[in-house]
Amino acid sequence: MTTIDLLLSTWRLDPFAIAACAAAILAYAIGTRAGSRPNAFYLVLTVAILAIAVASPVGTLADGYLFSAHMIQHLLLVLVVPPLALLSMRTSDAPRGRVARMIERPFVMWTMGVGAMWLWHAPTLCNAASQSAIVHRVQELSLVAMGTAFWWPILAPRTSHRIAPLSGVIYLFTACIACTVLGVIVTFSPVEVCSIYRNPVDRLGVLPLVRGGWGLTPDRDQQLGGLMMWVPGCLVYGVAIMGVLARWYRDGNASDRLEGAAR
Amino acid sequence: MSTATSAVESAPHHDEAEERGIFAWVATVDHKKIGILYLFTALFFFAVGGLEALVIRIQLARPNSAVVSPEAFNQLFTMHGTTMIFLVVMPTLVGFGNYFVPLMIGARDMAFPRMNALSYWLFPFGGFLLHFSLMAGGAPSAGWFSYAPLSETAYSSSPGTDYWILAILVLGIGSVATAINMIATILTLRVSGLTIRRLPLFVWMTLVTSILVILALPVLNAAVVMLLIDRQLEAHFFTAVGGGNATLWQHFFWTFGHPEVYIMALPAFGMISEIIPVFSRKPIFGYEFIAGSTVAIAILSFGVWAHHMFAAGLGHTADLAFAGGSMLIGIPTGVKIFNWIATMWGGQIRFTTSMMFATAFLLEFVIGGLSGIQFAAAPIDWQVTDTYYVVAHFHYVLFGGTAFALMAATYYWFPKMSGRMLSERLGKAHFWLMVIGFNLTFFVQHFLGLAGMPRRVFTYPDLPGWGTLNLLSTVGAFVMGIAVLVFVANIVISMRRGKPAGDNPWDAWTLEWATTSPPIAHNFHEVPPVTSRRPLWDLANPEAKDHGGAARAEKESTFTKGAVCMWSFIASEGGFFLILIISYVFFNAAQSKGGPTAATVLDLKKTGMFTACLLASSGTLWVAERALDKGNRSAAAGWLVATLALGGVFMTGQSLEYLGLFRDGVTLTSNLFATTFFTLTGFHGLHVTVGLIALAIALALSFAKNFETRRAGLLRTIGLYWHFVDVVWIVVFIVVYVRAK
Amino acid sequence: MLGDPFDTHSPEARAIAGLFDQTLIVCGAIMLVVTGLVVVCIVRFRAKPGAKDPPQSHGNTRLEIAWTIAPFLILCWLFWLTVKTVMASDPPPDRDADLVVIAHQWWWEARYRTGAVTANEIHIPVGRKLLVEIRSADVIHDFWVPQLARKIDATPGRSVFIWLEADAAGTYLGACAEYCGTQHAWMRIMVVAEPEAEFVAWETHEREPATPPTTDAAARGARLFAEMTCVKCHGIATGEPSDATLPRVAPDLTHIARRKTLAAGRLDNNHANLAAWLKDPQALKQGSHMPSLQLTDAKVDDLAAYFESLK
Repeated sequence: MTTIDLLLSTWRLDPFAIAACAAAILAYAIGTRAGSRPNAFYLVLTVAILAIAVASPVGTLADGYLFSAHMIQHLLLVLVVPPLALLSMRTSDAPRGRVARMIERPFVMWTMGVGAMWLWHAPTLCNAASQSAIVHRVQELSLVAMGTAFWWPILAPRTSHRIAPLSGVIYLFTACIACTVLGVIVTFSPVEVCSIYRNPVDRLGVLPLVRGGWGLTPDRDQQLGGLMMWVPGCLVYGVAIMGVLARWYRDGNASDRLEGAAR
Repeated sequence: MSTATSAVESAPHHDEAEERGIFAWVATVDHKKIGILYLFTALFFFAVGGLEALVIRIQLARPNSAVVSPEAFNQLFTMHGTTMIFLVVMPTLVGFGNYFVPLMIGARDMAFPRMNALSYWLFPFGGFLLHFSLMAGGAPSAGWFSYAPLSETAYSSSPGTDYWILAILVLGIGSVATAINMIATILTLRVSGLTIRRLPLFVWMTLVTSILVILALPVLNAAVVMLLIDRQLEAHFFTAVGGGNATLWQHFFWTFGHPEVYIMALPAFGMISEIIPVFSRKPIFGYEFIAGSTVAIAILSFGVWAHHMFAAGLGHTADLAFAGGSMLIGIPTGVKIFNWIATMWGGQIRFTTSMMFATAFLLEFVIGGLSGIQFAAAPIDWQVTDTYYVVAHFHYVLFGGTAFALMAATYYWFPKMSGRMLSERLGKAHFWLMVIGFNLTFFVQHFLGLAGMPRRVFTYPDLPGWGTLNLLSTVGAFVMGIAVLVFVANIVISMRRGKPAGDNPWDAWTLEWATTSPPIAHNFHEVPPVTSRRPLWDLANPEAKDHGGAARAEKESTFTKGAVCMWSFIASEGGFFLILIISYVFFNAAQSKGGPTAATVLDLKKTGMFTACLLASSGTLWVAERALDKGNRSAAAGWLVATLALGGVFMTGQSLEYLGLFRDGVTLTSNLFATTFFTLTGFHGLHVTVGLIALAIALALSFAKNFETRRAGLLRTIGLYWHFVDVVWIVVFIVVYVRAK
Repeated sequence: MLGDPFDTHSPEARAIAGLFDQTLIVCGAIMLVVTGLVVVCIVRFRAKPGAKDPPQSHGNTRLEIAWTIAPFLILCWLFWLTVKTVMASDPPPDRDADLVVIAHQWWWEARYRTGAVTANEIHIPVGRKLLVEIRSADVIHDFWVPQLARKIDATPGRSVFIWLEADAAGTYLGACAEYCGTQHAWMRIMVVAEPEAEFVAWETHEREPATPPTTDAAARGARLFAEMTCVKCHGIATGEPSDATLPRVAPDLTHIARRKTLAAGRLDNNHANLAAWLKDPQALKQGSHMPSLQLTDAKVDDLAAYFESLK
């Protein structure tokens, strides 16, 4: 099997991807009806990335073959899909409700996002997720859910739900550090995070290609996974911080123009 | 738009009477005097470090020469590096920050003037400790990054390295204190109207730098503490012999070391961002992008340390990841360069000495930055790192960059500090000698590196070309030496006989120019209204005022000094404990071979009980705070006593645990589990003890009159610290005790 | 176009030199642009006497985006070149090392898989890649022969690997590139690349025990060597089973007379230097672990005669 074969043949019809497509179409329809049509670009991107995470060769290889593929999936589900989904929603200035005020503590949300990183990389849970299909589904769902919770204070469609910009910078930066620490540990530590990836059951006959052709030995695989979490992971937080700052300065300039007009 | 009333008028006026003589300087808590103390002390150390450099260059002028002994040479370059970084560049930046940050934000002083004085005095004390080694058996000679195991007792047996460690610790603590002070000052003492989005860029960059300092310095502190434990208590954190890991030192050192590069560069960027607009007669181009790119640099700086370790052979995956990350830093840095040029573009540029230094900074910094991009490409680093190519590179960044910016800033701000102008004629001589000397010294070093000359060699064989290039470099160094003499002469002469400066000699736009030169004791008679980033421009051009850059009042006025201070401190302490915890995890991840382990010697249940006490103490403290808020002083005191008691139980528990371990023969040096365990829990215990003392003081104060009104903030601040110590313990408990079972 | 910055003689080193040239062109071009812009500013926008303040422009978002994206694209390309060069210049090891180099304060021990042992002077066959394992016996050192390969740190407790290869016969100089203490400057390496046949002959000879002394002076020297503290640190193979336990604290002297230099590149290997070194090593390499033994001139001559016979 060559790399091209692998990339072409290991797509699968994943129920999650289908559900996400359906949900996206539904959201678009309902949103249009209600007069707040979602941003089609971000919506399509969300579904596409979700499909790449679960239905593409990334998802297949994450399923017991490669720790690094698992890490790509993990990062896409926590750090890419939720913010894109939130960005696709129309923003409004409606005030926060009482319930929101009770549950939306930034600290709680932050813990959810960082927990999504740390929790599922406890060796027991990581192995369980690669062995049991049900646990795997729970993992995927929880990652998206926790990711959404994490991004909510930054990108909530109602601006009143968002935290102040500079607090947002600290919020994202500390998450980045927490993520970095885990990445460093995974990259340089001698212990295995997921022992299951050391001796995969070769269901599809791609192992020779992965180990030999790509040169991904178990050690290098884990190192690569750790670096994924750390470098691209942190870049997402970094880009988000730049985004928050850009929004902050833009708001300032916009309010200036309003003032200027009023004068 | 409300006209901003000045914050200073409401501030209490204490001791207006000018004190005279030396005592006025020794006992001062005035940020301006402290700033000047910083600058002159740093100038003194600059002379020391510069002379060291000259001796180094004399020794290297010819091949196979023996002007100094090998050991002396190694001490010289170690002291030169340590001095220039910790005793010259950082204090100079802090000195300018101390003097000008309060002025630029319309404040009367720093947030914590007494702590400010303490931070200053730690600086000469640290310098003294470092140089005291000369009298105690020789200066440190393991290089400024003291790579273990060379810096361990087995290979550096003289106490020089111990003094180096102590000096670094003292200076590190001083820097963190200053940084906390800066953050609190900038966040809480801005004059109304000066929102964060309107901060002068020098202030903004000082703020970002201070955040870097509180996060990066504790990493160094933790690392040198471990090295000290290795050296003094015979542990083996960094020696392969006892199971330690030499590479770990490099990771820790550069986790500090790379942000440190930006700690030394960002405030200099800030100075350039103040100077170029004023002399180009245009506002800074792309303020938001310069401010934002600073944050980007700060974030990236924490993720790229291992590019200092490409030669260590960490493997291709790691090398490439760090290569990519390091290259990314080129983008925000490039954005700054282009914005500075765009600021000059279309201006009416006045080439004063200050502006000339700023222009030279631009070009030299770009050379250093571009060779930096080359170093980010790992294979090039594999060839030219640890050669004179890298020596040339970082001198272009730190001397051609930062030091040139500092000289530009000196010419720019000297009139404000002294009331007199520096001589432009001497200034131009200084500039040209410096530019020629600097480029002669360091540009040829690029070629030496390519020819294969390693750095830090006390001599070299007579290979073709090496002697000539080295001689040129030495000649350049002496030209720089003359330039520095001209500079010092200029300062000395101008302080006495310089042209009077007036309030605003450069026709500049930020608030420091809105007061007398030098400023009065409490800084301003009246701070002008601030409605944009250039208040003095608005004042002079009422018909063409700047846009405000965020006119709406920001919500951040809710910060209090105490809370900002404590949160910054907690962030810093968090960094310290993070390193200790990572070391513990690193050395205890694999099953250790023989000796005690967490699983065999620790008692989860017993410690669990003490842990419960510590957690409960957080609860009782919270109740005490609540009671105080409600004005119920006796209840608060009662709950405080309970907190103290619970904390005491915890400390007793920990002491008993230690005693038990000692009885079983488990001591710090037993093995790496024991070393990391005692280091981590010991430092935590120390923090609990400090917390207990603080709480006891709060309790004692609670019997004073008006406690609830005056001291509620104090109790809340101590409470934050106490809760933090508890949170750290939860992590320690999970990592050390729970994980082992 | 730029020539070869490191005068390279192996494909690995050439790959790095190529990357260096490419980055130098790109960086040079950027430097030219920046310098050009600054020069234009200096010439065109110098303040004219009595001129009013220029138009106050605060920025231009489109320009900002342009000068963010442009460097990003350049860096992407550079990163791609870096990836390629990493693979080309430092292929991963795929077999046991042909040669183990152990760094000591301040000399290099080289042990070939075939059993040959030498110090400070490494021989390699032209056109055949040797896999070298680098270790350290004490502090961190760095093995660096710029014309042939990347540098790599010798870290205690850890082995690293590089490929050593030369495509032309010759002597290639290198040095320890990580500061390692007092005599870091005199921890130099010499790599001698020679045609396969000569290399094999050299290696075969290196494996043989030392030639027994033939002159009286050499015989006296051999006795001195055995009686004094020399044997605590230096080994001279005799062909006996005891060779297995020869000390490795200091360079092996079995074939010292064949080496070109003494004391890790400090001195040329000739009689005068050898005698001077034996007489007072601390005067020539201060801080070195070779002690001054206060030898009489006669003893020095005998020892030197013995070492010169160790071809």
